[in-house]
Amino acid sequence: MKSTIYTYVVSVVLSVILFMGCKSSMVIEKVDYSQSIESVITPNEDGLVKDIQRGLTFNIKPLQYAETQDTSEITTKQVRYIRGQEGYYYITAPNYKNVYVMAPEKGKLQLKEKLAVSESGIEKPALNQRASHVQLLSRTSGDSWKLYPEKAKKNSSQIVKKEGN
Amino acid sequence: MKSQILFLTFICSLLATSVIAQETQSDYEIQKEFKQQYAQFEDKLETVSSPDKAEKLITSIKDFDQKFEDHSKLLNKALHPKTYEQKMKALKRSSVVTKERLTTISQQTKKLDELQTQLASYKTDMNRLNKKNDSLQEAMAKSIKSEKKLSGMLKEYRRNLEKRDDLILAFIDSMVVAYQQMDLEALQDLENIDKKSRIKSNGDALEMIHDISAENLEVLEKNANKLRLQDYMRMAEVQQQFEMMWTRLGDKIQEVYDGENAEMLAKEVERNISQWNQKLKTQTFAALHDTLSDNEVTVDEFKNSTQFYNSLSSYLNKQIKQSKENGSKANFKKFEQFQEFWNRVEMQWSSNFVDSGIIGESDMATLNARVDTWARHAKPNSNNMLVYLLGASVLLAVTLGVMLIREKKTG
Repeated sequence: MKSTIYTYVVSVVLSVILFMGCKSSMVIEKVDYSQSIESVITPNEDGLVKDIQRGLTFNIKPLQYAETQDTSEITTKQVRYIRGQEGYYYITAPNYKNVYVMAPEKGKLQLKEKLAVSESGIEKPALNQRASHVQLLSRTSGDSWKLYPEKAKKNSSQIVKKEGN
Repeated sequence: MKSQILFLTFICSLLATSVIAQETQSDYEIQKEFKQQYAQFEDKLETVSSPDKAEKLITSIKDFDQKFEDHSKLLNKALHPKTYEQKMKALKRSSVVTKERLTTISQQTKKLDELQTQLASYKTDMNRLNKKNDSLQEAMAKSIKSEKKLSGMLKEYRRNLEKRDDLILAFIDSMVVAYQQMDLEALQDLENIDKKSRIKSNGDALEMIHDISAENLEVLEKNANKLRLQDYMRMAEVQQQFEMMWTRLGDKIQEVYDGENAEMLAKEVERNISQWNQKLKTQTFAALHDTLSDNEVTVDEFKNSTQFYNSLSSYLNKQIKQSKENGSKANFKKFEQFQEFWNRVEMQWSSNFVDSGIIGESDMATLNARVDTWARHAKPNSNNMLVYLLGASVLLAVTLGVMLIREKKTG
């Protein structure tokens, strides 16, 4: 009797494993999510950022709080973001000290990395899509950074060399 | 020295700043600037008002292309589904089309200015001639007793009318040349661009056509007793040219005219032309009858082309019959008098006769043939024979007389 139950349980477990193995077999490889040109959006009074062209809506409040520790009013006048090759969103705003790398998930954007770029904040930031990375640019000083999902690397030259589009 | 160094430092920092500013433009700003400037060029092409400015715009567009062509790959993405090349091509084509359009408009404006000057000059001349004719008419009314004086004035009056007709023909030529080449769309464009009212000269044109048609009608009504057949023939030519011009260009002239009463003026012009034509015909038939009477050609009354043909035809038939039966000197004289009139008709007015509907082409040919027949029979051949016979008899008598005298002498 004991061996019959054992055989029954083993066969059920094996069937479940086999069934699960067959279910999610399709994967599309080498997907490029890169967005050619950054989106520049003005949030509304509730902090809602609506990018109608790209079909993305999110609230800037969590990022503003991370920067200023204050969300009593929306002080972020402009949000600039670009989607990198891997699919992460690089989000920043004027006078922000960081670039936020956000991973899209079901109904939410999950912080993957907070990239510190300037202690005083960048007055006029811009994000450019480049072949291997996302470029962060200070339009006032000309400083630039190479942004990757895990790190930000400042370029040595003060004047940004022309990088291919 | 110190100030020079300071100045140089300032210049260098300025240059550096400008380089940085240029180099630090982001992709977003590049495409934004491109789109903004492109839209500005499109706006400028809509509002540019002269070929010179359009030419400058073409040069600016070339510079604009040079400035952004390095970013064409980026812009291809920003402008998707169109490409940078497609957008630039469209802008350049549009700039060339605009320049061509403005060149046409500019030429049109020039022509209209010329026409305006011409119209002003015609108007002055026409007024001068009208005044002169009015004063001549007054003078003629006063000096009706002095036949010699009256005759001189009448001649001058008719000469003035001739000059007036020449002026109208010149006006018609100018109108035809100006309006045939006129591009109404271009004029509409000009109006849209300059926000001006329609060119004044065109208003003058419709008004002047209206005035001429009304005045000519008046001239006919007032001067039936002073005009001769040759005057009517000239007037018929003017009327035909005038009517032809109105048929061909009337709609255009009316379209271009800016006044509220355009339709009313145009209708009056049509009515005047029609009455002018009718009156001219009636008076021409009367003058024709007078001319025939002056030449002692007695024909039945006629008031239209059929009656005229029938009347002349029956006269010729009668004369031909008489010539055939009895070709007398009196008949020959009649022929000569008729021929004098008919030669003038044939040489000078045949086309006027046909064009103004006085007689049909085939009827004219028939009458010509009858005149030829009359010519063949009109010569008093029998009388000549008698003269020849008489001459021959005299010669024979003289010869015989000489021979008789010689015979007597020798005898």
